Amino acid sequence: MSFGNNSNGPKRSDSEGHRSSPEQYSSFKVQGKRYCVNALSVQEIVRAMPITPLPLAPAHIHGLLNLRGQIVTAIGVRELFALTPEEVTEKMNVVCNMQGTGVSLLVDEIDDVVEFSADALEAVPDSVSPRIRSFLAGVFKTPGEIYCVIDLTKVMDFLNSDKAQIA
Amino acid sequence: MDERTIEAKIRVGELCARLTRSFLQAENQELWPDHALCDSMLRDLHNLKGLCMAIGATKESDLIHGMESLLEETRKKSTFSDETSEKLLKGIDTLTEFSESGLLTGSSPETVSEFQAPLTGQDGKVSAAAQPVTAEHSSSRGSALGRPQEGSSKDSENFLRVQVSLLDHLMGLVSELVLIRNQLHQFSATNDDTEFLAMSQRLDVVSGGLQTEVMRMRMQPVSTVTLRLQRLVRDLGKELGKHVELHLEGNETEIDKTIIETIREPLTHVVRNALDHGIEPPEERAQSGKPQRARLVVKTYQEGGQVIVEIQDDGRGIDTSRVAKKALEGGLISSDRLSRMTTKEILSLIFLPGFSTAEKVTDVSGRGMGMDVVKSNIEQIGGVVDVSSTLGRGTNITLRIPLTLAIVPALIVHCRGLRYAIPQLKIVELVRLDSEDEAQKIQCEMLEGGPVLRLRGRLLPLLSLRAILHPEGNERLTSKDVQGSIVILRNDGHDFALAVDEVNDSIDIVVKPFVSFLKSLRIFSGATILGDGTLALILDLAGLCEHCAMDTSARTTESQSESMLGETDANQRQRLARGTNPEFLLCGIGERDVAAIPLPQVFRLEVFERKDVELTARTPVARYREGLLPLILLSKALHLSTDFQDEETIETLLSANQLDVIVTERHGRFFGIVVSHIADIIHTSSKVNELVRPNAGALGTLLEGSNVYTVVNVAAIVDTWMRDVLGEEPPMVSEHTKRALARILLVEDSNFFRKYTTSVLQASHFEVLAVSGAREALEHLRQEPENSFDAVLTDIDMPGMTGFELAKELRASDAWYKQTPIIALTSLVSQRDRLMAKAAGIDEHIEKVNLDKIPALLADVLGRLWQGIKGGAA
Repeated sequence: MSFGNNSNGPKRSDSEGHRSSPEQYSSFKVQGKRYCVNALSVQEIVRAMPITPLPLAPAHIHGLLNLRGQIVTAIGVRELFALTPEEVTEKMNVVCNMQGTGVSLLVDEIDDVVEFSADALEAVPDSVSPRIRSFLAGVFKTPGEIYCVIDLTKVMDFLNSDKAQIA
Repeated sequence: MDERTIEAKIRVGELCARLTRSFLQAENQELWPDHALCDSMLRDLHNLKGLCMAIGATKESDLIHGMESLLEETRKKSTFSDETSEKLLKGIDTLTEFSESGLLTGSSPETVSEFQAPLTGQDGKVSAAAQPVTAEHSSSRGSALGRPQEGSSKDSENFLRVQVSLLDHLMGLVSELVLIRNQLHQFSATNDDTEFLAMSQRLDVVSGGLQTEVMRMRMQPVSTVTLRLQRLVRDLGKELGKHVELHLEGNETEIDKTIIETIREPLTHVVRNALDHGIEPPEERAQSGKPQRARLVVKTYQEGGQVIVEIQDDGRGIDTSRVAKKALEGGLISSDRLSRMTTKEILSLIFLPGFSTAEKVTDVSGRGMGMDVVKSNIEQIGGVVDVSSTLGRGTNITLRIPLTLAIVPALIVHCRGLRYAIPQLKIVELVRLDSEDEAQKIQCEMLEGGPVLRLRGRLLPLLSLRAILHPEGNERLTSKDVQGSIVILRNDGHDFALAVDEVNDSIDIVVKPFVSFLKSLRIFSGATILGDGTLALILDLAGLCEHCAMDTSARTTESQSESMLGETDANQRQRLARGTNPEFLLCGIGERDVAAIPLPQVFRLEVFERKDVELTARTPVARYREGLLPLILLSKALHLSTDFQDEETIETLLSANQLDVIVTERHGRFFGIVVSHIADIIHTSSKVNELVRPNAGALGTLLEGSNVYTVVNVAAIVDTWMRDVLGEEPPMVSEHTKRALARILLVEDSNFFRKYTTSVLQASHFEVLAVSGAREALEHLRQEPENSFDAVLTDIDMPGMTGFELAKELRASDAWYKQTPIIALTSLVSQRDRLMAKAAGIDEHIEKVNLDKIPALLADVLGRLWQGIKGGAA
C-alpha cells in the first residue's frame, strides 16, 4: 500500500514552469474529487490510525498522530476546504513534510501516483470554490480527469494565519 | 580550516578567557608587582603566541609579543595601571574575535601597531630598557614553560572534544530509550514471568543511569556564562562612572549546555540593567550613606529540579510608584487595573514589552527592551523570573531555570478519556474532594459566581479541566460539577486548583514541542508520547490561566478580603501582621466622594431596609444580632465637629429605602457606619498621607493611581460619637487588643524588664514570647512558621547583638519576618537614635519610662502600623 517517497529532498515551488521533465504527484480523492500533491513533499502514506484530539483547536485540526515517535498533526482536508462533512469512517493519511514539520492530510481514498510535467499546469477553473482555489497551485488535465494540485506552502500559510485560529 | 587549526583556535579562546580573568585580577591587586600572577599571565601569553605561530597567524603572534613586553614593563611599576589593562584587554578582544572568526589570520593592524608604539615609538631609552628585561626574563619564562605544557598534555589525555550535535543526537536516542523503558514498564505490570521482570528491572536501572550520565555529559558549569560578566561589569562600570564589585557565587553549578546558551543573554540584560538603573553613581551612594563601591552578587545554586540564579544589587531599588506611573503613561495598563494591583504585581510590570523607567535612553539599556526579553527567554525554557526590590536598598532578580529541557517529570491526569501531562514543578499538592474524614474535608464553594476551593483556611480559584477543554454544554461550572481529584498548581507565584477526572502516575516525559501553527493553542505547551504509544498533551499553566481570563492574583486578593469580612479567620491575623500592604474598603460618601476605610476595622458589611431602622432616644439604630446597632452617617461624622444627630441626619437615615452599613467593632460594641454605597476593596502599597487631612474624622489621604481617597479614622469617629451622643469617655485601650490579636516576640536582655514587660503585656491579653538576646530571637523567627509573630518588640542596647543589628538582619532577609513590624523599647530617644533606628528598619519606638503604659502604647502603635501608617513615635 505504501508507496511512500521517504526523501525529504529539496522543496520545489510548483511555479517552476519552464522545466519540461515530468514530475510525480501523489493523487487522492476527497468527496469524489481528485487532488494531488507533489510526491517529493510526501513523506509516506498510512492507513487511518488513532488520533489524539486537540481540544479547543480549530475544526480542521483533527489532532495528533504518533508516527513511530514522530508527532504529526492531522489536518482534515474536508474541513480545510469547507466541504459539507459526510460520514466517512476510514480516512487515509497523506503525511507531508511541510517546511520541516510533519503534517498529515486526511483524505478519503488514495489514488495513483501520476506524472505531469510542470508546464502542463493550467489555471484553476472558475467552477472551483474560492475557498478551495486559495489552496491550489493549478490543475492538470487528462482526457478523463482533472487533478487539482494542492500548494502545500499555501496550506501552511493558511494554518499559520490568524484566519485559521478561529475554530 | 583543518581540524588542527580549529582546535588551536578553541584553545586560543580558552586562554583569552583565562587571561581576561587574570588581567582583571591584576587590576584590582593592591600590591604590585605580583610576580606569581605576572608569571602565570606571561606563561599564558607565551602559550598563546605559540599557538598562533603554529597555525601561521603571524599578525596575532606579533600582537601577543607586544602584549608580553607591555606586561613585562609593569613588573617595574608599583601599580598595574588602568591604561595598561585597557590595552591588554583590547589585545585580548582582538584575539578572542580571531578565535571566534572563521579566518586563518584576522587581526587588525592598528591593534598590533598600538602595542609596538611603546616599544619603538618612544625614545631609545624605553626600548633599550625593554631589551634586557626580555632577555633576563627569558630564563624564568623557560622554567615556567615546563609546567603548563605538562598540564596541557595531561588535559588532552583526559578530555575529549565532542561536537554538541553529537550529544544532542545521543540525548535524543536516550529520550527514546526512556520511552521504551516506560512502555516496557507498563507491559511488565501485566506480566508474571520472573525472568522477564528481572530483565526489565535491570533495563530500568541501566537506562536510568544512562539518562543521568548523558545529561551530565551535557552539563557545563555556569561559570562559562558568569565569568564573562566580570568583564561586562568592569567595562560598563567604567563607562557609566560607577564603582561596582561583582561577587560570583556557585560558579561550579552545572546546567545543561542548551540552557546555558539561553540564559546568557537574559543574564547579561539583567546585569546591564542593574548597573545602569539599579546602582547609583558614587556621589548619590555617598549621600544615602552607602559605601561608594556597589555590590553586585550573582549567586547560582541548585534547588529541587531547578537552577536558581539570583542577581542582587544594593542600588536604589525599584520605585513602584514610578513604575506604575510609567506603565500608565505608556498605556500599558489601565488605572482601574492598576488600583487593584499588589506591590509585587506592580513590580512585575517591568517585564511588560515596551516598558522602561530610564529617564534617558542610554547605550546600555533604557530602550524599553530588555526585561521583557529576559522574561520571554526564560519562560521559553520553562523557567520563571521573579523580582523583588526594596526602595533604597536594592533589587533582587531571581531566574528559576529547569536543569534540563529534554526530559521533564510530569503528572499524568485524565479528562474525558484523554490524558494530559502537568509539569511536576508546577504542582503544589494533590487533594481529593470526596474525602471520608470530615475534619479533612475540603470544601468547594461559590464566590462571585465562580467556584473556589477552601483548603486549610485558604480560598483558591477552582478550575475544571473538563469545562475548560470541552466548553460545549457546560455553561457554568457549579460546585456540584467538581468532584474527584484536584491538583493544586502554582503559576507565577499564585496558587489555583484544577479539577480533573483522575490522577495517574508521575513519569518522566520527553517534551515534543508543537508545530508553529499550533502554538496559538496556548493552553498546551507540546505533546509527549506515553509508554503505550499514545499521546498526552502537556498543559501550559500560564496559557491555561490566560485562557480562563483568570487573574489569579486578583481573585485571591478578593477572596481573602471576603473571608476577612466574615468571621475572624486565621488568615486575618496573618494579613494584619503583614501590615505593609494594607487593604481598604472603598465606599461612597455623599454624591461623589469616595472614602477608604482600613479593612481591619471592618467587621461586616450589612444592608438594612427601612423597616429595620428605628429611632431610640433620638438615636437611629438598626436591629442587629439580637441587639441594636447605633447608626452613624459617615458623610456627617467625617467632620466630627457638627452635631452627629441633627434633624437632617435622622431624616436621611430614617427615610432611605436601603442603607449600606459597615459594621465596625470598638470597645467591645458594634457600630454601624452608614455610607451611600460600597464600591470596592483595594489592596495597595501606597502609604496614607497624614499631612493632608480633609476632615477631622480622617486619618489622611490615600493616593492610589489617579484617585485620591479620604481615609476614615473609624476609631476617632466612634470615640467622638460616644462622647457626644452617649456622653461616655471611651476606654483607653481599644478592645480589639484584648483578644490576644497580636503575638509579640519580646527581646530584652535585662531579666527584670523582660519579666515585668511580659507580665504587663500578658495582662493585656497579648501573647508574648520573651527571649534574652537578639541571636535567640533570630533563632525563633527562623524556626517558627510564617507570620507567627505580629511584631518584634526589642531593646536596643544588648550585649552581643544590638536591637539595631537585629532589625537590620530582619530587614535584609528574604523570609516572612522581613515585613514584620519592629518596635524599639528604649529608655531615651534622641533624634540621632531615631534616625539610626529608622535606617536599621525599626518602625516605631516605645519609651521604657512607664512600663504599665506599654500595652496601650503597643496597641496604638500596632493599630497604626497595620493601617500602613508609619512615622511618629508613640
